[in-house]
Amino acid sequence: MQQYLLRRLLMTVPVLVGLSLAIFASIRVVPGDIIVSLTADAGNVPEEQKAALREKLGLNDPFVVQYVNWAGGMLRGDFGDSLWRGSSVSREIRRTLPVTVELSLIAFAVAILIAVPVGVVSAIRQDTWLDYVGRLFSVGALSMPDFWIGTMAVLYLSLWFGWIPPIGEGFRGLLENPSVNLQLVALPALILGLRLSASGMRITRSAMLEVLREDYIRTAWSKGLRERSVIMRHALRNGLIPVITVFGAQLGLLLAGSVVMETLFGLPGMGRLTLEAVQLRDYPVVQANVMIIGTFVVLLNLLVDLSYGWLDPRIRYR
Amino acid sequence: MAAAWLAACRASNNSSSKSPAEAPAATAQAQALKGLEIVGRQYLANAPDFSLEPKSGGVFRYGFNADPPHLDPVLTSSYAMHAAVTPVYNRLMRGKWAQELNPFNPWKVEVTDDLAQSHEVADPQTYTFKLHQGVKFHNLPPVNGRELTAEDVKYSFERFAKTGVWTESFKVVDRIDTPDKYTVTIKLKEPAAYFLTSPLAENAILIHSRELVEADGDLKKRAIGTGPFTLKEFTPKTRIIWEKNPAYFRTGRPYLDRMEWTIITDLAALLAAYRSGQFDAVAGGIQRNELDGLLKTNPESVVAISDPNFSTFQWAFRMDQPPFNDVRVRRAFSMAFDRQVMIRSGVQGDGQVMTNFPFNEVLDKQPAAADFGPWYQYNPGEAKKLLEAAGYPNGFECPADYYVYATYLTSWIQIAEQQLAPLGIKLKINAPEYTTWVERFLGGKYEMSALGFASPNVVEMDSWTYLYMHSKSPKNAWHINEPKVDTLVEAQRRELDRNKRRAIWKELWDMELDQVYRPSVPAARGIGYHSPKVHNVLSNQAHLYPTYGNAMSEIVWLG
Repeated sequence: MQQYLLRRLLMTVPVLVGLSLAIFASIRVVPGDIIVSLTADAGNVPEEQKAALREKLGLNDPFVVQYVNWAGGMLRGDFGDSLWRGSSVSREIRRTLPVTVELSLIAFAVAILIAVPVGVVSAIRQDTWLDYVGRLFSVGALSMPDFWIGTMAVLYLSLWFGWIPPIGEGFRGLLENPSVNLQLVALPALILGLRLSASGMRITRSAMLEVLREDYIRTAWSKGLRERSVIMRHALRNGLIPVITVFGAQLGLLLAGSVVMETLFGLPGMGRLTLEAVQLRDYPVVQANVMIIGTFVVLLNLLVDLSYGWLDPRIRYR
Repeated sequence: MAAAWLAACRASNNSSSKSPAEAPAATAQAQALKGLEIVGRQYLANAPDFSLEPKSGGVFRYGFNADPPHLDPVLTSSYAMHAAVTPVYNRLMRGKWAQELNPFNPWKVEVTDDLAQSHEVADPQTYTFKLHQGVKFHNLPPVNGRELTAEDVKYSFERFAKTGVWTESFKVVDRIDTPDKYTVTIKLKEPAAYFLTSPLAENAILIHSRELVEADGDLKKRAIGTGPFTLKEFTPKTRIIWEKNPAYFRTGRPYLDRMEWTIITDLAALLAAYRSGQFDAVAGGIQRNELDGLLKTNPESVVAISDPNFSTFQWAFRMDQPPFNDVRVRRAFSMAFDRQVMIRSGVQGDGQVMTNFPFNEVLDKQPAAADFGPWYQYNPGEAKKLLEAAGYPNGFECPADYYVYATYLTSWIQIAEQQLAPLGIKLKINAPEYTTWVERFLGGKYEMSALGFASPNVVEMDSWTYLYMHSKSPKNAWHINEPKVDTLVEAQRRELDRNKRRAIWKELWDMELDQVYRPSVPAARGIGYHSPKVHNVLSNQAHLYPTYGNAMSEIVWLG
């Protein structure tokens, strides 16, 4: 197991190096640069001045030089300064990452709390009205885009009840003002969680149906075990392996930030930060965000893989 | 586009949802309100009373839809930055605001003193300003409440002249002297009729201190000025909070104790938040078909519609290459558009035919659609003949870039596509994302045509003319390259007689309409709304309150 862990950790290195090269190159292939964004609204900025600004920001340095400078800084924990704001990228991330993590974790919890029970019930009561309701829910939630649900929620809450989450307060951290924070995060997390639970529910149902047809489950039934015991002790753990795989991937997507929910509810998260940085060609911010999210995803996948061994003792890692 | 804050003659709840066949003409006559006469705007509901005495106190809560990149007006001209810092500083000169213009005319820019107590133009190249005495910087380190002096003005202007995005505007300055503590003398290299307005009264030309720049390296992180408000908090993507400056040199102002702006970029969320009482006002405005809904939930809202005096959006052509180097093709292109259809479809009747620079600077009265000349009239038959004469009987393929600055632009470009098709002109619409768009459009690198944009934050005709039309101007994205245009735009810079200057602008106006350098799409009338407890909000060309003109916050009050 330890060897397996060490091998996997070592494998993350080339993955992350490849990711760094990919994001470093791809953002620079897109037309335009930060100078365009900085001078767009301005009166009249001649080309010579724009060129001088490019030189000052190091944008004319050879690709390799820029990459080595950036990668070296990153290894020292220095992500550089935002070309748009001039402030430290680390500071931007420290401000936005907790928001996204909070939103993601709550959405994830909502998704699991809905998907697993509904999926299990749907499987053990296959082709009954309970199953049909569960499947209808999942198809409905998958069909409705979260931006539509979010906009409708904000619109009709304000029209019918004269109330929406206190977005007028502006975002407050969980420790700064828990009440405002939770009121702001609850609705977008619920919407995101509902959508995630739809696919999770379908995977859970499918996995459970497969497991319930296994010989050992038939043996458990024929031994006279109660339904609760058969499902919870024998079937569920084996059925969860594909579910954890899917949820693991979805948590990674959540951590990349939900731009739509963050924009609609005024949450200053990583999604908005990354989107803005891409649009403005704020290279240091894009690169740092992608590397952080990429590292999260890689480590998350490792945790997911390791969890298989806990769920199914037959799985051993060497 | 900044929300429109208006006043009009009689409060009206006339919220018709039907679009007229032709949009109603703007109210060119002066309209009497309580305490103010107004031109060019109309209240649709709950007109304010401008005769009321301002009250001090209160917290103004505003939903803002943009995020300032940072706080340095030298290094960026972003309108979100303007909104954040203009209440914190002063300018040497400023445009008049609100009741200072009576009748209030949203299209008028009249310059008055700000930090300057008086000014004198001894000769066309020498400007002398006497500063108010006893003006103090905010009592925050490293400036610590010291008095503003002429040296601060000199330092600020020299910084604008040497670095950042305003250097071109200060190229006409030869030198700046400070003969005493409160006197600034500016010598120009040549006469510049525009100088007092642009750059001196531009909202971004803010007087700042050397100490802050030397302490921080720039003004990106902190804003400490002499203005009516101190910047209490700026959290990117979240909020901006200002507090009243108790030592402000204009005694009794500002009226507000505090302003709290929350940054929400989604317009639907802003409207919902306003409905639920979380904001006193929000950015973005509404469409005509949303008006009934708003007045149902918030019947007390002040709602007003503004009339434009120019069109922000216009077609740009690669006039340096075929086919648009031929004026017949440009004329045909313009005549293919039924602008009334665009007004009905895109903005529900709330629009007017306009061209690229403010009509009020050139004409004595607002023009009707017919007054824009034959090439602005819908005439596909004549357009076809022109194309044939130009050698394009079967039309041509025309790539067209645009950016979704406003949702109605998508309608308009699609309408354009349909209206050009009978001429054989196949519009290939391309909507790149923002930075790609800016680079292609402002760099003049679009393939053949673009639905372009001229910033609404233009306070002087020199910018409308020289900046956008001179062949050597970095902002001439339209590839206008006419020696006569160059001669005229250079001449209007130096002509100090207002009437003669106006005559030059009229000549440019006529050339624009005749040569069709940049055929405009209609100008949309903006509908803005706010809580009735907010007073003294009158956005005009000098102060597109509250984005480019948030300095006006010193006269806003709650009651």
